[in-house]
Amino acid sequence: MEKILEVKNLKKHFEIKKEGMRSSGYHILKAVDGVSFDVYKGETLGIVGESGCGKSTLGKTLLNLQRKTEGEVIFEGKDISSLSDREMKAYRRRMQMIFQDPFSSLNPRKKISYLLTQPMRVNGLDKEFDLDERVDMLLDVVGLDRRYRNRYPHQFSGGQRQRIGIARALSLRPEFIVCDEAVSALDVSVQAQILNLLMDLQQKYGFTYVFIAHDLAVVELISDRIIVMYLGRIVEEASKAELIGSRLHPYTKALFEAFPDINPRNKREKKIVVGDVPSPINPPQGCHFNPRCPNAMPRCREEYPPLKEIAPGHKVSCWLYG
Amino acid sequence: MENNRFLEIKGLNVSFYTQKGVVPAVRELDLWINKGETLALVGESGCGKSVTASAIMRLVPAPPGKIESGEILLDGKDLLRLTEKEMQSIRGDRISMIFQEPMTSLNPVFRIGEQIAEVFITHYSMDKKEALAKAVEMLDMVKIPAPEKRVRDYPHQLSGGMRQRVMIAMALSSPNPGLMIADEPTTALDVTIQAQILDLMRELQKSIQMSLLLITHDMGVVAEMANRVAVMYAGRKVEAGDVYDIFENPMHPYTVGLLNSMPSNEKYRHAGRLEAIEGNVPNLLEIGSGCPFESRCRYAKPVCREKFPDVKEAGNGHSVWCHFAGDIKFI
Amino acid sequence: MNPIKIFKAGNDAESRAAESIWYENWLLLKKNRSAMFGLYIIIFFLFLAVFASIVAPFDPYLQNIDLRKMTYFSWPYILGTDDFGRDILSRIIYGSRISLVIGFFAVSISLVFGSLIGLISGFYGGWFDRIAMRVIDIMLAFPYILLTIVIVALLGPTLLNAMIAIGIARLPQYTRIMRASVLAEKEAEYVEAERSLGVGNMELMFMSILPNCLAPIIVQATLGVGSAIIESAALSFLGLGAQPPTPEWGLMIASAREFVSNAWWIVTFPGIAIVLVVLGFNLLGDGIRDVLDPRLKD
Repeated sequence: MEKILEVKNLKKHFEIKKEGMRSSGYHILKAVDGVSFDVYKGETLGIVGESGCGKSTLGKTLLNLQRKTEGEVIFEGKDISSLSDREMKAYRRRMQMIFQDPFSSLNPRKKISYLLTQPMRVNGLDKEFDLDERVDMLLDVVGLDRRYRNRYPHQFSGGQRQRIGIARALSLRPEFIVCDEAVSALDVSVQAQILNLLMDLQQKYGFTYVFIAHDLAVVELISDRIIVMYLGRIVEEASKAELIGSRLHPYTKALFEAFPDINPRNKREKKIVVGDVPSPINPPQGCHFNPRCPNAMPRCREEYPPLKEIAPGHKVSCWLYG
Repeated sequence: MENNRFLEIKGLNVSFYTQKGVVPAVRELDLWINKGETLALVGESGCGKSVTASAIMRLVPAPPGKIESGEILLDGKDLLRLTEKEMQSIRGDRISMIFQEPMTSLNPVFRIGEQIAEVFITHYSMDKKEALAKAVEMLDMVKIPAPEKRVRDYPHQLSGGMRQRVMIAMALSSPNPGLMIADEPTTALDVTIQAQILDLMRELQKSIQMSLLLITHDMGVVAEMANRVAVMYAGRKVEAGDVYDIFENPMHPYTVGLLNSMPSNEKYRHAGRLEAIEGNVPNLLEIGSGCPFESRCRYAKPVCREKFPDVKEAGNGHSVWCHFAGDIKFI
Repeated sequence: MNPIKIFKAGNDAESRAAESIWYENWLLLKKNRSAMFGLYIIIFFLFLAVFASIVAPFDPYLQNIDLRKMTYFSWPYILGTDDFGRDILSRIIYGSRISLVIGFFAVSISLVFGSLIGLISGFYGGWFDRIAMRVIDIMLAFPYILLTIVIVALLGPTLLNAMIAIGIARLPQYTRIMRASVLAEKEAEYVEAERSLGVGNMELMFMSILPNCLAPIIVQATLGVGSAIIESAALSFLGLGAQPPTPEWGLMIASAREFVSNAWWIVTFPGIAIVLVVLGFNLLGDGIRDVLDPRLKD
């Protein structure tokens, strides 16, 4: 399969001012800390993890919305992560993002027609397309009534707004779309509609998705391959079938066990992982998961395990398998 | 059975008088919770589940809210007829509540130990030292590590899961904890933390024989926790029953749709598209007298628009409010 | 769960006309009685100002030597005459022109320049922000009226300079309000979304962020017109603003102060005019704030 995106040892660190009146200086928050993976054309790559695992930062760094600290993001042979804003503009068209919050991601003072035409206008596509026609077409594609074009965002429900957000991302005819928690703010019944819409659009236009979410079930439904992240690093990477069949990393297992089953007869004794997610400012030494891991060994407290390929396409970062 | 009911709601109607009109947030709601059981009130945003909780606590913001009619019986006493002062002695004693975002219900300028101790000082008239010792005990009960140290922390120093534990500790500190209302208690938490909190709630409930009213949108949490389930849609209860009946033999098209919308449903293990409910939650201002689900229901007939259905019983306390309950074959 | 949000969100009425947020706010404002009362006062004075030459019974500069002893309520001088025998009613009517012009002009200066500095400061940050904020801090460290007087003294005591001085002295408030809203708005997800679509900084700043930051500035400006009118009256009273024989309300009070004990009407009626106009702007400003403040709305 053809690679559309190649991520090499990507790092994104933030400087956080130290708390307290007497202390000065900065903590380094390693939101994304040396992540490498490939994205293939036409696939959906799911990225799952809990808060603080760096998945959202990763998504934004992929699109160069946040500047990387180190590493490379190669899109069709070009490292876009070191491009200037001006040089990036040519790539913006082709790489889009769908945001989490359908309420804050649309400018409340603008009509739908404005929101949908603005991207085409600033990218000089207004010469290429008849913008009016294009708005109708986009509304059709995402399943909204054409008459909605003259309304304002606050006149819509969450699901409808998310459809508008999707239409806006599609307006530039992108190839690569990052969905950052695109359905997690929605009601369950609406979430299902939007997931269906995203899958339909992919089938129709051959998009490549990076689908970022904290909900394991959603990620497993929509993705072809899945990456599990914990505190800024990839702990497991596998195809969906492979991951469902054999979850190797203790964190992946914990995440799956913790996920509430919708079968009430499965109130089985679950192995619930203990403790809180540690702060990414000061992650545990060695493997970041070791304080919560039921299988922790002395070595886990000293050295971070490398991401190793255990089976074809199945990588895991754990000393149990090394 | 009748005298086993700890809390019973009869014919509750709550409206909000807004500038655009009257929003019927809860209509003709009947609900009861037995002693020691967990009732899950499940539904999507705007279905009236949180308003119901506020009504039980008599905390519906008025104006614009108004409890139009109904009874809320606690051990046979109607809470809606109590004076504000009598109600205050029930809140936090017989009924306590925990919320989605614990930060908003904890006072940011006091140490958590002091906030828990406050409960013991008011309800048990203990002195401060005794109360603080009790606070440590309570933190230990909700499994907060190193409770002697944690009592001196401020709320912002704790993680979301720890804060929710503190809230639970406060709720359980009252002398007669009878009912805990948990409004989306784990929605803001990570999955692994959610599992811990749910586990803790279940364990504590068993040990002190408390009733739990769990308000949630997550069918997974319902399956995990509930004994009985009531499904609400746009202010109406549409189906209620034993947790096994609801999950294994759902009879209302909305309940079926809700279960089918869950990506974790077994049937999507390998297949793609979800069986979603089409359309959007209706505007409560524009709801007529018919079934509120009519506009999204693929089985709807003209009668659904005209009249809200009467209850149909399917045995074992399984009730459905659908004109065609039992007649529909769900695919 | 907020029931008000519910009906806002899920509205499917097909044929409903598009309602902009501003239009909805206007509907809300119309329900606020005191704000509408304020608006009526303002409209009344605007009417007087525009049609002064038709409405006023006399020329405001016309002196009447026969009436030099200051008449009291006598036809046709309804509100009496001043020490030069000029009709007070006519002078108040013409004075509304000057006062409203002062109010709007001074506020426009602080509104335009203050907001612009605030917008750039908040959006770009960096050295511009640091310098601008330090200058603003210095300006705020001066007692307000002293700062105004210093500026007038530098520019020379004319009415135009008084307006400019009031505008400049009030500028820091607008800058601060604008900067604070821009800082908050800049973090909104829609800004990031539009950036990801390739929208440039200028368009983001003026087309996207600015309209969302106008609410508090509009409140401030409405209240500001009232205070600018008071301040210009004060400056004129001190001899630093309008110069005689201009029919300016503050000046009318100042030049008649020696007659206060035996001709109270000369000072009272211009005073009432000032109070009414300022009240009008304050009521309207408070009403607008109630409508635009989201905390009061939900």
